Amino acid sequence: MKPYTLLSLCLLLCSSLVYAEVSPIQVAQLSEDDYLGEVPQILTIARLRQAPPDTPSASTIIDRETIRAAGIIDLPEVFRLVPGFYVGTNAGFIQNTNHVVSYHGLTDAYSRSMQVMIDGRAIYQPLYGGVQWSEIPITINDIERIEVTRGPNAASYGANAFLGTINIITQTPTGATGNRVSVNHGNGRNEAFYHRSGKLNDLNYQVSAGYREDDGLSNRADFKRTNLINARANLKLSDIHDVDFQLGYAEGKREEGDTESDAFIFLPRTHGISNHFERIKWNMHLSPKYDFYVQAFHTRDNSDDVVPTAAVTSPLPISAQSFRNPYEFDRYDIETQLSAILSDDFQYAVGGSVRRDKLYSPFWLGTNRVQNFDLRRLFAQAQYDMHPKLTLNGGFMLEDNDFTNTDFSPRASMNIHITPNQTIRIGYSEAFRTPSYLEEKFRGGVLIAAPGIDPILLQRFFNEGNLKPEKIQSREVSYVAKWQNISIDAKFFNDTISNYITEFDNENFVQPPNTTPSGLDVGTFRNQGSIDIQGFETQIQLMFSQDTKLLVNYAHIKNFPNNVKANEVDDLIDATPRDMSSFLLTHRFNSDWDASFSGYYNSPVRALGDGNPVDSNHRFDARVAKRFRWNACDGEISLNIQNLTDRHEKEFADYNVLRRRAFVNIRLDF
Amino acid sequence: MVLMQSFFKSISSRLRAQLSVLLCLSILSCEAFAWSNVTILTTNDTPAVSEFVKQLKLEINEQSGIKVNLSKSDSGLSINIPKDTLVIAVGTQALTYAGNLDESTPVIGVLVPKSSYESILKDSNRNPEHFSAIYLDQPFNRQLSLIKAIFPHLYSIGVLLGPVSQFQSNDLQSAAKKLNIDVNIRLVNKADELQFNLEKLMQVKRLLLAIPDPLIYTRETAQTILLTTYRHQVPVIGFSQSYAKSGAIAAVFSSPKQYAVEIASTIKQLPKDQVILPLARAANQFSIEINRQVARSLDIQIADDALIYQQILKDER
Repeated sequence: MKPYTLLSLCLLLCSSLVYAEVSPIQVAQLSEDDYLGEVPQILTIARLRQAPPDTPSASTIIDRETIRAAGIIDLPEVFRLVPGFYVGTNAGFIQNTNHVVSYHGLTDAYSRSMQVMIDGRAIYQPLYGGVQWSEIPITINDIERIEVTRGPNAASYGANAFLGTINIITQTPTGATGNRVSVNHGNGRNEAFYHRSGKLNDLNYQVSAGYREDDGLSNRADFKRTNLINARANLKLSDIHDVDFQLGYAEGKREEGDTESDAFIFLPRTHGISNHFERIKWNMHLSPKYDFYVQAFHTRDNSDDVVPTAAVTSPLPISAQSFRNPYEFDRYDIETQLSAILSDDFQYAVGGSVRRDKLYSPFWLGTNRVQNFDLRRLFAQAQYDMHPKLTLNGGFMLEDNDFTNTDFSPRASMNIHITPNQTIRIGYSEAFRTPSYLEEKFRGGVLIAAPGIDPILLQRFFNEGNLKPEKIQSREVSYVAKWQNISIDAKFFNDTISNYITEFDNENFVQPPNTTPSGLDVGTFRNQGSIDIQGFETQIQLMFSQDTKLLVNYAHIKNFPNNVKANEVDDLIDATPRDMSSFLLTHRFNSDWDASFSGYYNSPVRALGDGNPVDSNHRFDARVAKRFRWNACDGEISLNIQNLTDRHEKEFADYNVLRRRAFVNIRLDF
Repeated sequence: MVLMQSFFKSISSRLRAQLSVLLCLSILSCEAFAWSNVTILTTNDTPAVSEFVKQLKLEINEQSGIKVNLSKSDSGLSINIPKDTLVIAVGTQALTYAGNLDESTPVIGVLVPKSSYESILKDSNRNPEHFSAIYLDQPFNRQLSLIKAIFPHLYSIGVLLGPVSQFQSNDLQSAAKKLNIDVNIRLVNKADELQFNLEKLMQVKRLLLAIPDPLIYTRETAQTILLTTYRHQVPVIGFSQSYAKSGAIAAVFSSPKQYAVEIASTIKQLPKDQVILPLARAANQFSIEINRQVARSLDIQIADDALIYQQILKDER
């Protein structure tokens, strides 16, 4: 459905509400039960989160209001507001419709070093290890808040919670009834979403559906068309038991491909994608001191890509100029956790999970067999207030998987509350990064027919496998403070990544008989060397008045490679922008009008893999919004301009040029 | 959590001694005047009513000479009330039934919301001097004192008022003005307007003071209100102990036991068979409940319960 159609329907519905019969007000009398009756515990242990002075590592929370105020349209853009995060639009050279979001650099197109979850459901892809941001079947409006752990968090989320962790928390259906229509129209991007929430007896539910089209960047083959729907419901069985259901589905088309003049494989084409997920979580509020849940989810991703190649010598039949690259991925996961408060001073959580990933990718893996990857986990975390001025956090994850066997990831921190408003945190944690299939098992090649000779074999990788997981040891000293109108989070960190996984030429590769070598190197991945990452980052929130707020982020990061490949030293040093900063200034003029002004900066960077050197980036965005009341609808109209100065910003690589873009958003609640 | 009992443990022994003396004097001075015949009228056996009745009997039986009758009526049709008795009507329904009794029968309602008492008084055309009550509602100045004790730098609060509670708007505003607190009020006229108004109120993130209203604060809406406010990191001041346990950051309330102590004291202070009753009022005794798990999660530092309690007492003097 096109955005305009949806908006028209909404306007029609709003108009009709004017004539709706207004039911007479039924005034009930208060009774003693309203004061003295039992109310079920709503903010249970599992729902409460740790406040910044108590957390075991640095974290950033981005709430709905910040997302709205910053005028975020594309989800990954929001991470520009997190200190130390680098975001690159449509980064990949081959999979070029996807943003890269990385923490502390070492950026390549897939950003494998971060765990990303939606409501605790891991969404990183096993093939490359990154996240397909544009294919997530949720809308910006579904997001309640985003919790970002800036640092390893394996004790909570397991391997791959390596450099950082992103947990996107969607809204819980509260039982309130309402409809929302949001339409966004602007340069190269249109979208429209409908959201409904309501209640059916003891079932609270919400549904979102919509359509999004994005034409991508100029000079790139990167348009996206996406239809999506998701639903979430909570069935209250009793004050003790409730069951949360979630499902989502997205499908659409992606234009991808190499537009360089000398490209001869992965040429521009359009292919279909689809994915869906189902999740069920049974929450048991056993007592005010114990919460327990069992969660199971399944996700499935599909893509059927027919990839054109340039014929080496033409003319050749069409079938010889393309190859199929089907991709099917299923993830099954069951997790359970017990959260408990033993006393006012001590609380803990223990749990475990089992997971199976099933992957079918014959082109990349060189086999038609479905690959199974099994994962088993046990974890425990505890918080102990040893003294009013000292909070200790400790935890571990014991993880066993089919690639690297058993890994143990501990974490410990000491939070010293030097005053009621100020805390010094000293933390240490370890985490592992399991190799992706790209690093461990890529062995596929493509045969290109050529007249008069054996087919030419393009063999990009022939992995030897048996990689060790990368290991990170992270040390941080942080200062966390909060006063009436200012809060500060400053962190000094020193991380060491060992068993660094990097690409080598596979000199042991044996050319199969009856094929012609392409002349290109065949790659494999091996562990070699380590990298120290050191720096400082801070996040400051200032409240000048109730209506004027400023958020400022800054990070200074430096990489020190040790014993890595000689030709890789400079690459690794340059793979992280040395300085990154951002700010968001918001101001509310009155109850109807508000505006924001934001800025983003990063110093020059040369991303790994598909990236190439780009100069420093300066970008300023502005947004102005007006709320209005129209018939029975509460609405907001906003104008959002990105890259105000129209600098030709290059992100990730010199082929990604960002220009000024403007968007108008209309939102109606009824 | 601090109830009155634990507060007694924590206050200074000097203050405790003074309170004990006052209590003894009160009992000794009133014994000779007390009503001789008291009937406790109930309509249900909820835990709160049962606790109140049990405690009231205990308080009264400590003194000889007062006969306590129990009368339970489910329908209000056959209320068995002895003559020359003072009726203690427990709960809204019981007070409604008591409103139909002979005008000469003095009635004191207890465990009754203020709005319900006023409505029953009006419907029954009773004289407030013969038809009194100790409300369930806490005075606004006490609730605002609690807010000030926890948030000394807060000068703005949000309030949702419904069809029943909207008439308290002026009282709330004037109480808040004395403490230099701005009150941002949003009216909820229909159940489906709750979320909208709550979200509107959250745009000015400060604090939500819950004022009882059957349209707004129910068992069913607790999830909507507490999850929405927590989502915005806005603390809620509840009006009952269970609301604080459910997820509000704090509440000031009076327990059934405290109501029993106050009713017993009132009975004992009345001149023998005097039908002129003290006018309806809020309870003098109160407790506070602070949900420290929620406070900690919201990164709000709160002083010890005893200090908060003393601050409220100090403000009331």
